[in-house]
Amino acid sequence: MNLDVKKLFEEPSLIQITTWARGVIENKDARDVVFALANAGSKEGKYVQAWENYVDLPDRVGVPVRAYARISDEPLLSKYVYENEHPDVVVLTNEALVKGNDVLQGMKPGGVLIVNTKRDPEYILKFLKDTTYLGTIGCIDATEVAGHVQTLSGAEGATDASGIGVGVGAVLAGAVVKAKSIVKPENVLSSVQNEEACRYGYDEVRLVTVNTTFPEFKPAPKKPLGPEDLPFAGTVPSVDKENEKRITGNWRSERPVWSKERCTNCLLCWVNCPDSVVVYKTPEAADFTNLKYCKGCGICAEVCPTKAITMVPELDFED
Amino acid sequence: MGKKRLISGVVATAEAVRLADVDVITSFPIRPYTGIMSELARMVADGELDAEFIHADGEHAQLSIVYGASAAGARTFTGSSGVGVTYAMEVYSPISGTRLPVHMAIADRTLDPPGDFGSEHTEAESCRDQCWIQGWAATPQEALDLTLLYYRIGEDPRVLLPQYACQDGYFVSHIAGEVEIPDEGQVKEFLPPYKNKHSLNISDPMIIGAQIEPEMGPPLQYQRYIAIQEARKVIAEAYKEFGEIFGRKYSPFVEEYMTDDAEVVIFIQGAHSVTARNVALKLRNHGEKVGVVQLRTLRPFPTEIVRDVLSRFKAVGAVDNSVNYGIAGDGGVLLSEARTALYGLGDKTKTVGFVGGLGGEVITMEEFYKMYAKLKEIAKTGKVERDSYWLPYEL
Amino acid sequence: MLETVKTLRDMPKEEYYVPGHRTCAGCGPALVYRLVAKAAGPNTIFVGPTGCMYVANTSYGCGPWAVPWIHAQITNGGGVASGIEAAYKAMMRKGKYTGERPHAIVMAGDGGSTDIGLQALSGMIYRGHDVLYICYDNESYANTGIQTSPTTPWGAVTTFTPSGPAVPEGKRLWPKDNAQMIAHGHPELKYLATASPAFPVDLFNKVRKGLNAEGPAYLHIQAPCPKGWQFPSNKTIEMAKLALDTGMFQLYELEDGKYKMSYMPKERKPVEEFIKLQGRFKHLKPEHIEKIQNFVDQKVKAIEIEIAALS
Repeated sequence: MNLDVKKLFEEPSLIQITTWARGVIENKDARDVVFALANAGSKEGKYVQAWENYVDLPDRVGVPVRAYARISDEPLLSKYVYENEHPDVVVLTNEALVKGNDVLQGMKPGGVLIVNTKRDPEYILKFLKDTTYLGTIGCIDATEVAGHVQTLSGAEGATDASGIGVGVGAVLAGAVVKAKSIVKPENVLSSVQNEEACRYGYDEVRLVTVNTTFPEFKPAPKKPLGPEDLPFAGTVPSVDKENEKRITGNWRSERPVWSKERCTNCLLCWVNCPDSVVVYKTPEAADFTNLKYCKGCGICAEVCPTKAITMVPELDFED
Repeated sequence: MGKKRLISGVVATAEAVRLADVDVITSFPIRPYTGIMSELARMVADGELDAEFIHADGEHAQLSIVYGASAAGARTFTGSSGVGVTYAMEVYSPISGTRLPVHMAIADRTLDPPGDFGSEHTEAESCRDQCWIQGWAATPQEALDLTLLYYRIGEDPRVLLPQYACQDGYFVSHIAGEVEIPDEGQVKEFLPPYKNKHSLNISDPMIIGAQIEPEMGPPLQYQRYIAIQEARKVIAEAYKEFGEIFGRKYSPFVEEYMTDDAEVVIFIQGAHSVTARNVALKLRNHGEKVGVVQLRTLRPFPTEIVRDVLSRFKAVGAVDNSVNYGIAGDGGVLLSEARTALYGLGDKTKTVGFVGGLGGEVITMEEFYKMYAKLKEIAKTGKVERDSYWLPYEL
Repeated sequence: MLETVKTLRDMPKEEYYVPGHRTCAGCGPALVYRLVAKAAGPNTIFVGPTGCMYVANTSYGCGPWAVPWIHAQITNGGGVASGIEAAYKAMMRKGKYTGERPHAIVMAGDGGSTDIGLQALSGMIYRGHDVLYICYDNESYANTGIQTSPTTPWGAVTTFTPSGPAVPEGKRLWPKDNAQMIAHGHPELKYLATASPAFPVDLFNKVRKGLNAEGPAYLHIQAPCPKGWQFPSNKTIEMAKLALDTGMFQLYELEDGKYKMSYMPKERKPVEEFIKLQGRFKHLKPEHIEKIQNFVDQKVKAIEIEIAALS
């Protein structure tokens, strides 16, 4: 056989939707977005599937996690994959996810990015490294209107007893269909618990066009790992000062800020840090924490007896 | 040169373990392998062997402890029988995947229910695909030799895989026969000290057994696959050198008996191969062109050798001393693998399965006679009426 | 001998559990791990049975330790550590290893210590292996997404003990007390203690005492879990303190056959103060909380009687 494999397996009507969220606390929101949209697609007789990124599970508090939907007019060919490799729509349930995560990776030309934030699209764009293929960005403060719902229910493929689209996810699903008419708005509205929130998202999302022309889209083929790419039996050397294969600074939604003046050098922040990142305080210490790994849990601020540490939204910092 | 003693398979195995100077032994009682551990406990108590003799809290613990000990650099020994073998099932893949050359003796026993001390290969064969080296000894002498051979093969840096050295319960484990016990100098020459490739050593710290993601699955499984492929070469080398040092020459993969001009053969492993040989010899005396092909190494399966050997005959009867309910052909592992090995060669060699000796029942000479008769009939008519026969009911 | 310390300032600055792991923000077990590794120092081998502290730490193909670490199954932490200890004993006796004998520490979760791995733990202590076995108790099978374990409190919601009209209270069983189970009936046990990240110096010293003991030692360390207990990630230390102040968890040690309380709240707070801050208990009605209060009152009394008798 001598067929063009790439062409053979093309799925021109396939829409890929990827939601990024913070593990545990926003896992439900990510799931809600993709399930609401997929259910809406199903109502229109489209071919759909929705799932959570399996490799991101078990999710941990704060870790970036992804949930996916695929909606198509044609039967789905590539059903059993781990990821949406080329999303048409990317949704962020948390604004700080733009830092340290390549959220636009593989995006198809003209793709849409929806962000749950109070901030302006222009400010969010500052944090996106490569916006070559981004068509539209939309911002909406979903948390403000819908509130936060945290549940363990619905994880690991189980049923979510709290229902689909009770919170932030409903707003974001509404915003998505405003930005890109994947499915009809009324079908999304009837697929979520909180219709009002969904309508708010549809009506209030602030959309900004980023690009209208795009260079040719040429995704690089994925090269599988060979047996020589891994060490003997997967055994790796122990590390020295840090494990650079697992950088966790991109988990942070808030950053601890230290007031040197108020600090009494009691070491409580240092000893109570689960990530070993708070710098051992000496009068000369310049940095408070190792931001490369700080997950922003906030324990240091909580245990500080003199309130010398405050937690500040990560996106307030443009570094 | 070594000295001769009248000993059973369990004692012969223990003698080999002593000669191999193992460091850590983990025990748990279950018939019929128990005698190996009693013997080793005695050796430790008498000061004949310097090893940690650990009373594990079950077979799962036996395997868990030698996993840790082997990773730390110790030469280890463990063993079991029957449901003990299957109870430890969780730990077999972690041991081979971590590439630890743990050595385990299995003296076969039927799986429950009902409780039965008799020997079947079922329990050991159910672990055959865990990437352990595996083969059967048919006599106490072979039990001793297999133990030494497997330490050598498994610890070879090109292999680094664990080994199941199997012997039929009771028949081999409990009936004493003449065994030549080698001297320590010979063993030292044959078996160099174990050197682990990992390090649970603080001077060169390692992280062993980290989680992976799916894309790391293929390369890691492929590493293990290459190791067991490589083992075929190392097995051949080790057997050759074993013959040179100890004077006992074995064919490493399949042993042929009276096959030169044979028309039909029994394909078999373990103790019952001895009976098969004796029957073949009797039949030869009456001019019947029959023989025996004894499989020595079940894993890695010697596909090409089996193909080359079995394809010389008109009919092959694969005797399985195990139950594999619902398997293709309704025979056992040996039938299936013989047929796979012969695949693509056409219809020249007919194959049929015989399931026998279940529950540890003896496979009698009369039964082997019937098997040979059936094979002769198949060779003559060229017709295979059914895939398998369960003895004694279907033949 | 590892020296005990008096204050935070006496602790070494060096870390052997270093940054770069996929544990939750605010993870109690990760904080415990860090303090244990700090106390144990560089001459240490960690055994990591399956659980959060395996999967979260080693995902994927890496790990945050500056010392050797080896995986064990969730079933067999005690067995694998027994093997490592026995190997060093044999190899040193036979001259096959000439360095210093490393400490062996098992870091197992509550499932791996009190449930599926309990036999391996008991066997290890019974046989007298010189290993420090630590149970970091986050009160659930957390790595699989929060399912009940034997230490999950009565009334807590997990994904295997949801609350619903037919089962309003959620979990209906009272938790196992592993420290008490281990303390009674293991004559080879050389040291036992409970600990909490609420008192890091105490925890640090108990690790060192456990390692200094010549023979098996067991530490049961409560480790609040923001995911499973459902509290904000900055409240980990507060949860640990409240557990102690309400008597939901108690700190003591058993050394040379004598019990000693490590911390006694001046006045015990009602359990409700601990319960009301956690999502896993939010469905409980006053009568449920009363049941828990009665259970805790009895447990505290029982421990006090035992300690009075054996101190």
